[in-house]
Amino acid sequence: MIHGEKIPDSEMRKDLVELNGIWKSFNGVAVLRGVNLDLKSGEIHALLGGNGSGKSTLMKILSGIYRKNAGTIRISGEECNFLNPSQAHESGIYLVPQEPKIFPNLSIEENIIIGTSYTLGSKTEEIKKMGQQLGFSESLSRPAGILSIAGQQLLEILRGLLRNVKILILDEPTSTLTFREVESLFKQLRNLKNQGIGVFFISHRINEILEIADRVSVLRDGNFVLDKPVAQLNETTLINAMLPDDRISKKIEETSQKKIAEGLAPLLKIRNLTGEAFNGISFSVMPGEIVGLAGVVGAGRTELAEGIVGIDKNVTGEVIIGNESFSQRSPGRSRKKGIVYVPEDRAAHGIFLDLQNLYTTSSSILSEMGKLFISNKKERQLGEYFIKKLGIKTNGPKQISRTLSGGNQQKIVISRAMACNPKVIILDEPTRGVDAEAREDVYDIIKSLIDLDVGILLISSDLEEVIRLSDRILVMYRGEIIEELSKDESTIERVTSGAFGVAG
Amino acid sequence: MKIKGEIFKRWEFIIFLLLLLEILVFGFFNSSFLNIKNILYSTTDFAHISLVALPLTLVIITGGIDISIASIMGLTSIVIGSTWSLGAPIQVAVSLGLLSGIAAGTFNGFLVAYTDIQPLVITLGTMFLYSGIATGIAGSLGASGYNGIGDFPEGFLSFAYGSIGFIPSSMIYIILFALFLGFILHRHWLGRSIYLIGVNVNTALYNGIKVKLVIVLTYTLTGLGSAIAGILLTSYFTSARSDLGSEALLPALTAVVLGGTNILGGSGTIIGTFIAAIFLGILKQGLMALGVTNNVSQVVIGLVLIVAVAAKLFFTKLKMNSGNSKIQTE
Repeated sequence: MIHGEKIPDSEMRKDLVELNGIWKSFNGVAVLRGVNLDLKSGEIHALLGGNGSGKSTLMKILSGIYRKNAGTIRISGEECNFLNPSQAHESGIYLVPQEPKIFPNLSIEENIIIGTSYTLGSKTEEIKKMGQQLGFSESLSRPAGILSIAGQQLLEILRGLLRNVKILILDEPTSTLTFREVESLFKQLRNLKNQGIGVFFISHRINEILEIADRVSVLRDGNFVLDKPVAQLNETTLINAMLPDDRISKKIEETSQKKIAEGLAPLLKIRNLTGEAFNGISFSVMPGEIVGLAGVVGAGRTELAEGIVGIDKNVTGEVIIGNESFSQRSPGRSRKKGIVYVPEDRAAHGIFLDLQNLYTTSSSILSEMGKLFISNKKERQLGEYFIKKLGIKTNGPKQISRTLSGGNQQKIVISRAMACNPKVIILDEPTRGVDAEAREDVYDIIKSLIDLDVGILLISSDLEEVIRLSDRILVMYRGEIIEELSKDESTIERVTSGAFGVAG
Repeated sequence: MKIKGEIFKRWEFIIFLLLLLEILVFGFFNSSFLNIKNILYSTTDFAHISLVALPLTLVIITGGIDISIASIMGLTSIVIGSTWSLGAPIQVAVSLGLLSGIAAGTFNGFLVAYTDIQPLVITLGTMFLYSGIATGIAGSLGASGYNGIGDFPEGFLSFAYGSIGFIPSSMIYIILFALFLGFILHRHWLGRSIYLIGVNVNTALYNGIKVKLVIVLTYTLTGLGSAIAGILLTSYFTSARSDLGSEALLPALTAVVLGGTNILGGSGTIIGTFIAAIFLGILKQGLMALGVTNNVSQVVIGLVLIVAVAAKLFFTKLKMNSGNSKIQTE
């Protein structure tokens, strides 16, 4: 374990949490191998690690959802061996899950006080006051279902605050937030920190960790491989710490740019496409070109993609494939014309989690799996082909997809799109919730696709990703493309300012 | 070897074992139950339920439900009876009956696929609609509800009472229909789409599955099954009545669920429903043969259902746990 240099005032701060030698295994497989971790009051401690590295498991042990196999837990110096989440709450630990758990039909206030002995109305003023400090302006009597994900997260934090939280655990709080919401969340976190609350902050976004955290620990294969104050760290050191040792040597480099031949006709042309969430969109995608679509969440990017492939039918304007105008669009007809969409929300729209892997892979081309009946052999070959080609870590095409990691599930979704043999693939957040190694694999897949002259429309909220991969970036702001940047013009600053409506 | 092991782990196999056990138990009390001929004939009373339970499996796998099946049987019956009594040849009357059942099922399907109303509510409405139409037609012809419309030709009556060798013809219809639906569900793209919709309708939609068409077709097939059942019942009772098969809904649902279909959709098999329907048919016959009253046998059937579903849940959990450890160790 590497210890950072002494931070003077941290010596005086008391330890809120001390975890020593925590072991946890599932079905005989060790997920945590004697982990040590601590949290001081008024500290934001970021936990970083690939999917399956054990960070969520560790936090679930701390909040009483799982039981450890061995090791000691000290809360404010006292040894505690939690039995259940309510005892964790009593000790001031509150976990805000990645997907906030709310009761959509109950009012916001009811949602906040639920599970406490407070009566409705007895804490209204207090909640209002705390809400104002957090920048939460919604009326407490409205149903919680109207809140955005960001609002629901604030609601979860308010739940914690009302329970006098001392240790707040945030599991990927920013993955569904817009830039502005992230900023406001960070402001609130700094507020909470100044009140002496300790925060465990789990995230995949390195730049956010560098911005908000005081200390960063990197978990890999059930052990911490790094624990340092943020001042001693940068993006490269963090990424390298997360990657397996044999990957460190592999330098993260720019995608080799494929020369787009002159005089080729675009594969896909969009003319003046207008829908509920976007307005007058025009652009084209060339063979072998990656067009990045940047913008904040809510800018209308996903809605645009869904309008192009015909999931949303209330769209005017023209989609032209080759030279033909393509109207009466539906996902099935788009597939036949050579456009497939890899949706943003993998679990809800992309994959059949409770079925075998190959059922997702073959789902768009069932009619090609045999004349009258689906050929088992043909389908299995298809499944095996993509497992091999995309390096999917699975027992085989018949494994139930739910048991795969996020990165491998994403590859299954991509295999479905590739099985359609498309001319254009629209990738919507293809690396969200995907660990660092699988992320590199996804980038390799994208490269192999452009080598085959497939055109790619890449929607991503990860700026580094869009900039690194795209030949051209369209920046969307409130439903309109306000800027088009060439490869050379694409910098984080320009894309960000465009995404916030400040065109350069 | 691997495939063999898989079969023994399936719920359908367990239901099959239960069926054998059931026959042995009844055979212990009444040795005539061990005669294959008797066993086969004891299923004729239950044939109409098997015929609707089989396609209903498809509907339930998509996450839907159809509670208008009994009304469709009655409607089919009345359409046959009325066209026959108006002088149409029996072949025409039966064809029209079949068509009316298919049309009723398709209408259900359209309402389910093209509105946001729950299938339960829609088919509750059409249940009243179809039985209302049937009673209306019967009334306008002056046929009393009790006696129905009779005087069918000999040939039509043999539909229910015929047999090939020692296999009753109703059993043959069930087997043929089960084979047809089994191929559709387990081998055809339509069947695969049914599962995909049941597991995640949004993913199915995003992946280009023709969700609406598939849903309509599952209800159409259920209409077809109900119509065949209606024809069979009309032949069996030698008269057309609007209330034929009115008790069929709950036994049919029981057969589907007992056969391993998840009532919330996403999983189930034709063979499971097939075996479960026979199991229930024999259970009813067997209890009757033992002198158990109808009321008590209802209690037994209810208990069997609950115990079986609880056992299945336990069984799947067990299977999942062993499956997980396999994944981890490999």
